[in-house]
Amino acid sequence: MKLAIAKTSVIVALGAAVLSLGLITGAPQVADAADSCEGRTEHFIYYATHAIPHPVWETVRRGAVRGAADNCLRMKWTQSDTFSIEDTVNRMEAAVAEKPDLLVITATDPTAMRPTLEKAAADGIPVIAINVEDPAPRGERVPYLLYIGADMYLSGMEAAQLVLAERPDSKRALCLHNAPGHVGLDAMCRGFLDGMNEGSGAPGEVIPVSLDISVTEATISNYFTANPDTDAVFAMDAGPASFGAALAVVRREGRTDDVTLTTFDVSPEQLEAVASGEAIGGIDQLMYLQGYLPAVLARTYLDWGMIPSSNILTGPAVISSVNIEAVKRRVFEADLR
Amino acid sequence: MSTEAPLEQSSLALSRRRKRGWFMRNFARPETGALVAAVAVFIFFSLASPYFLSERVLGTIMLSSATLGILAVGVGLLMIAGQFDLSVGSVYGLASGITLMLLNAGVEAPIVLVITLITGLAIGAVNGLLVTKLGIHSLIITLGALMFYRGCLLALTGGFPIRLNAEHAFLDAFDFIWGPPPNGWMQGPFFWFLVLVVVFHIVLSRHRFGNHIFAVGGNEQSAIAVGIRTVRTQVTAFMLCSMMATFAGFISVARFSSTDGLRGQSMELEVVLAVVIGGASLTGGYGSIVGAALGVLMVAMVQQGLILLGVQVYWYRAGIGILLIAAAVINHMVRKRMHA
Repeated sequence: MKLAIAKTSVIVALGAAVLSLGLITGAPQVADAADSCEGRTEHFIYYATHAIPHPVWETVRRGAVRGAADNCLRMKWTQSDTFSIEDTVNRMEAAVAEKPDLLVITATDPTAMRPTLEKAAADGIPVIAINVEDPAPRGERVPYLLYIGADMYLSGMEAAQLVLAERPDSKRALCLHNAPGHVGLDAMCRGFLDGMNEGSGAPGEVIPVSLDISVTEATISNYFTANPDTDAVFAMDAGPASFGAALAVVRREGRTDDVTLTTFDVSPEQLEAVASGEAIGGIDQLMYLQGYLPAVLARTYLDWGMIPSSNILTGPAVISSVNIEAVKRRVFEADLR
Repeated sequence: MSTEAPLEQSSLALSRRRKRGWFMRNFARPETGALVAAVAVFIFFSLASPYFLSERVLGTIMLSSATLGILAVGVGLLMIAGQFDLSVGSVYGLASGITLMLLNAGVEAPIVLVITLITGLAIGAVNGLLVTKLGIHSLIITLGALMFYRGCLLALTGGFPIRLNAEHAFLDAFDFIWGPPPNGWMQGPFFWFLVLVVVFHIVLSRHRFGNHIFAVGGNEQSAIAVGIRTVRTQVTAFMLCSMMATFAGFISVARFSSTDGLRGQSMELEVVLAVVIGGASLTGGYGSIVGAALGVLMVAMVQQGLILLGVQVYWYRAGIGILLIAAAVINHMVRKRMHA
């Protein structure tokens, strides 16, 4: 009996140790102000966005950490395991309850987020939206001061322009969508397909892609089989499960000369493909700035009550053979994406 | 009414019973329903899409089902033993991370494979011991394991994809193509999936361990009464299940030369779905590895078939759901008729 209790105690102790480790490593990260911040008010900035464990969001987080440190702010970052509006809203609620000096959100689903953001406004918490904006007119949108991020529809259009510059008589366009229902990505896909249709009359389609690379590769390959005239592909995600899978299929099937590839966001694979000519280019939205700039503006606004009255666009920023070497240095050497 | 009529009816009934006996002997197997459902799905897409029967599409279906299939062999075995493992997707992802890290650190690929498989056995042993010794339901333990190992992978990758630094000839044994490119008639990952299906089908149907698995899953108390070491059997099933997940992780690195923090995410439910539509019982004691493999192929056929049909993006998941429910219903009806 004693042995059983001892065994159970060891297991419980191990569990507690693991849990503690998890809580320590997984806890929302708080950036300490640097020594140079002495004498300055340490404002509290809280990021409650639809961030997930993904390279682009890790880049935003790094921007936020640096921005908070540079501007003498206390910063808290939270994220979900998978893309979930419900979880995002719950985290926003928790953020409002903590009464930060400034809240950073993504307006991924303005309707669902409105009650929470109105609560924040009622509590006097200023809000900055990043990455995804509320498409409603200024007077009707959910309450936030300004939006920092890309114009997603324009980003899609810009991707179409990139493709059309290479292939003006494109026959069929394909958009690889990794999060159907995401307002921003939906708009970008629409922008790409509208741009292709206006430019060359090419019809286009959107297909969903999975996190499972095997499935995504099969999906793209089978789409090519069913639609052999497809010659323009825009991946909404530069990672291995979307752009990487498209590149692998195009390579394996010997279609690198027949299919013009482009993508949104940045990844090492994408940059190497652009450098080697296998992809025509990419559309970036400078995610690092989306994490960094809110901290800069928070310091200005909270100290002096001033903030730009219009949105700050961080994209579309085009990556092509013209600037590829500089972008590669930025990503591979400075580790900024 | 002549006296010959009842005789005729009786002889007809006898003949039916004989036929039924022959049918039951040869076809009343756990995978029969899955086979009928898989054939129905296959025929549906063959008729609906002119491309479905092409060598290329069938090749991509086989390749895309390999990872899920390897996971399903382990999960199927465990479900027959009466337990669940929801952590397989995370363990698969973590194994790919460990494999990449070790290969990039210069460890020889065969040694990495051994380490990866041992890691799987150890993870399964921990899951199994926690479930059997503490009597906590496997859904709870493996749900916690799912989160823990996912967190480990995220910490390991730092949120960014990791890539293989150099090529390793040993990895070609897991990612090869036999036959004409691009897909050939047999690809490495699918070959390993088939090997595991054959091996574990034989283990389940011809080996004493297989009998123990069915007995423990069917009625644990009866299994104990006839002298089966139920704890050892179930812990072994957990170990094999996790080992299969780590093997799939190793193959994933051989194939893609990369991994990321999301590798394998949400595969745990997909694999349970595949195993169940493959004929396994959620309460244990019933099912087959061949059925699980057919379930996986059904999932892959539906996923790829809908793309060939050009289903609109927002209806795609709904389409997968409805077709898989249809497959499950066909499977259920066939099984019900067999056991009536």
